[in-house]
Amino acid sequence: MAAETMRLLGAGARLNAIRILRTREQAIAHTATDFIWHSGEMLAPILVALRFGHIGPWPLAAVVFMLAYGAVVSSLLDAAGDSPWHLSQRIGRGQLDHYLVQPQPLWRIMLTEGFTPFDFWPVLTLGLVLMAWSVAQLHVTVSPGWLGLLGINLLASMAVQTAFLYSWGCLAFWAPRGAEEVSSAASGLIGKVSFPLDPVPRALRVVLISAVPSGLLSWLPSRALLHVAGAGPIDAWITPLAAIVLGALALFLFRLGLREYRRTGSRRYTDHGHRRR
Amino acid sequence: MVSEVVSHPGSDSTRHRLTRLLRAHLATTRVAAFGPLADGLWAVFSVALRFVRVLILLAIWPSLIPAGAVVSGYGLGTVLTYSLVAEVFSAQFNVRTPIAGALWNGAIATRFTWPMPLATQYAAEMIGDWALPMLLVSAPLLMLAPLLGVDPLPASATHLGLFVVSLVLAVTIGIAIDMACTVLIVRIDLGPWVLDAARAVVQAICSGAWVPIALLPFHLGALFTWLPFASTASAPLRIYTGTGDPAPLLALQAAWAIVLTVAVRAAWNSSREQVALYGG
Repeated sequence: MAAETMRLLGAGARLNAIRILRTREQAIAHTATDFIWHSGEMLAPILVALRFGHIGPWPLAAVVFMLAYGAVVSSLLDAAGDSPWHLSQRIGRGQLDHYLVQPQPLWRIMLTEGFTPFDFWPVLTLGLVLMAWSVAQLHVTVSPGWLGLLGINLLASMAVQTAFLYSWGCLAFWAPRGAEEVSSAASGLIGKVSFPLDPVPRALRVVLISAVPSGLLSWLPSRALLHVAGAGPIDAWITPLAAIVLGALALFLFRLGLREYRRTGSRRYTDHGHRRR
Repeated sequence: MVSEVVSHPGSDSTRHRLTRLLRAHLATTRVAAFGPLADGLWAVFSVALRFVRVLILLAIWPSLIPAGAVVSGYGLGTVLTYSLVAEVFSAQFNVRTPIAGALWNGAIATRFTWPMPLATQYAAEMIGDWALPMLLVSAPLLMLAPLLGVDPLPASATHLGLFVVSLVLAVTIGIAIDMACTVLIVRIDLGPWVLDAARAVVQAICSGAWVPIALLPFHLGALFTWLPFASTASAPLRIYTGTGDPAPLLALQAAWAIVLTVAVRAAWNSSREQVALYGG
């Protein structure tokens, strides 16, 4: 099972490399674009923090860590594939059938589809370098335990975003036309936060770490890892816990949706293959 | 637009043609206004996102500028008004017509056959796209402002009048910049998202739509004020909040509007034959 998954991931990596080598100019343009986009997103809050020296209880280096953490999470997610961003389209357009006819289990197709490890390394590198710089600036004691906690939180943040997108994308099982674009709408909603959320009113903060968990993608894990004022002793485990809960919810909804799909099939095509509008 | 009408074959008088052209633009705007509702109420997601964004920004400022303090000409009340109005008019301060995307996916092919100039038909569509967000976000934000602890009123009635003039100039400059990007896409065969990335960075930092440029470090604001991007957002916002002298700001906006419109029109006329379509 693992060998087949690795084989498919390897195939994705090979195709990614071939595309880059055959379309060098475009590949460079796309990679540069991604880098400019992410670094630009980080630059504006950093400039504000530079001007004022802090944002709430967060010193400049901590703000940089938070933004770099978010960049690492999003670049790893981008490299892992784009199926969470397109789930509702796949269902709504009847393309789930394309998955179901493949001689692979559905989970493996979704896990390996769109794996492009070589497209996003500049952003990943930038994120890792900035994280290392800010950790040094803040004199954080980097122990194996701390690195382990960092890794767990990074994985958990990725899982939170994936589970959130899957949960919303499942709506398309019941409303294939109306909810066809719900995945991309949901991805807009859970966008990265640019500022530490400490000064934000408590009610909004609760929303941002539960119903729309943007705060779990960088702010809360960073606050816990850096022990910024206001961080509680269990904060470092909130994101992993949320990942488990949201992951279970997404799995439940997906299985429920698949049961519905087994009953109804794709409602977007007639028997003659024409799209029904 | 007028030159294109005059050169258009037909026997109707110019006045009738202009009336028909105006009707065509209004119809385009109307269709675009209702477009987001075609897929149901999912458009509400982006609305919610904008509320969250402005609430976060309004909460951040008091932690940076204490009440009573003035930083680079901005007191807390002024910067809160600035941020709120920036969000209310965010679409107008960051003009994006659908032309670049249409160029890339091929949809522009049929648009060349429409009896309307290309730039204005996409501008009409963009204005239609503004309707729903204005209704669902901008208007409620202005009404809820006192509850959020923000005074939404302009510095004076005169400033409000000048703001409207400045806003029109800002949108004009925005459309010119958007068309300039389209020309670049055509001439160097770039995907629109490549330029979008650079534009997003410029918009976030140089335009002042997100943070007043006077509050940027290293005196960057003094440089950015002279760039056309500042004329698309910072100028009208400074006029509204009374943090800038309206006369030079409007003069600079008018200069950029004229220069960019003339330059982009010439560039497009010499580039339109190079349009290549990939979509379908």
